[in-house]
Amino acid sequence: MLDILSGHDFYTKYVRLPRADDPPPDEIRDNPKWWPYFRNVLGALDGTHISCTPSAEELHTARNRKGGVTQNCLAAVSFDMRFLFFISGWDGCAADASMYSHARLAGFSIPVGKCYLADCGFGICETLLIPFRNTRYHLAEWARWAQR
Amino acid sequence: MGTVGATVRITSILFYGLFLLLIYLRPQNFKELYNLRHASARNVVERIFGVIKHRWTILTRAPHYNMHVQAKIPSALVALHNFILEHDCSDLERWLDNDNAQDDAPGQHRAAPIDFGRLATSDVTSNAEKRRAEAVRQRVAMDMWDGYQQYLADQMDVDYYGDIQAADVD
Repeated sequence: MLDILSGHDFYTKYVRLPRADDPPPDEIRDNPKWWPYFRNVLGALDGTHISCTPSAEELHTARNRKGGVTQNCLAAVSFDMRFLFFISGWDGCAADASMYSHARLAGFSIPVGKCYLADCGFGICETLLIPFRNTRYHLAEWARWAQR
Repeated sequence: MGTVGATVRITSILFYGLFLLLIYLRPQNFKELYNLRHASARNVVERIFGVIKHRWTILTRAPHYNMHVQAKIPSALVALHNFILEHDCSDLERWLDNDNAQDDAPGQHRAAPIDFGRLATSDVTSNAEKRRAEAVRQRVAMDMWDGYQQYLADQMDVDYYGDIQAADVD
């Protein structure tokens, strides 16, 4: 069952990247706070940690910076909550930036002129929009309310 | 009479404090506004991780399989998530209504990326590309700020927020 779900036929049918000529996502278009500023944005990108139980010799690399034993995964997500790209099985100690570099080599293609939203851990480049450093980022829920 | 006066004074001080707090929480410059909207748009990725981790507890309680089997599990479940979404849109609501559906182990928010040799960003991204990317981000943020100032000017009472919006409206 696992092999079927993660196998080529099923996986590539349901997890696929947007094409260059796809229109901008409706969620962006319908939100005046994002449109037209994020018109070239295809989705959001982030890493997450998923628990695992490695063998003794793999244990030290699987330990993440919070002390848990995890595997690191990188996901690109569209605004309608679909996965566009996913890689798993990285050691818990891997940095987001190195997973991203690997992903770009391993088939994560981004059409020219398009980009994804990512956090500061990825480093700035033309295909990622990251926040400004040394600026308030995780503003409280209050601020979202006050912004209206 | 004295008590009433004191109550009125305290209440007005409280309201004034609340008002100042709201002014402070409002984005103060184009970088903060950009970061705020960036965060609210990027929030989708935290929510989707929350959804899959709540739906499949195998992702939070590790099974004792061989590592190469374990590495396939998240990919398989991600494909399954997309499959379910394609055939039953309403299913997602059930998971999003749950207040706990937030990722409690999100990605790595470190202040600066660690240099992992050749794969780190410093080598892959050239300085010229970095400058171009920063220019793009700057333009997006400035456009956003101009739009926001326009919005404030349209919506808000100028007497209240005059000093915030006065200079930058184009």
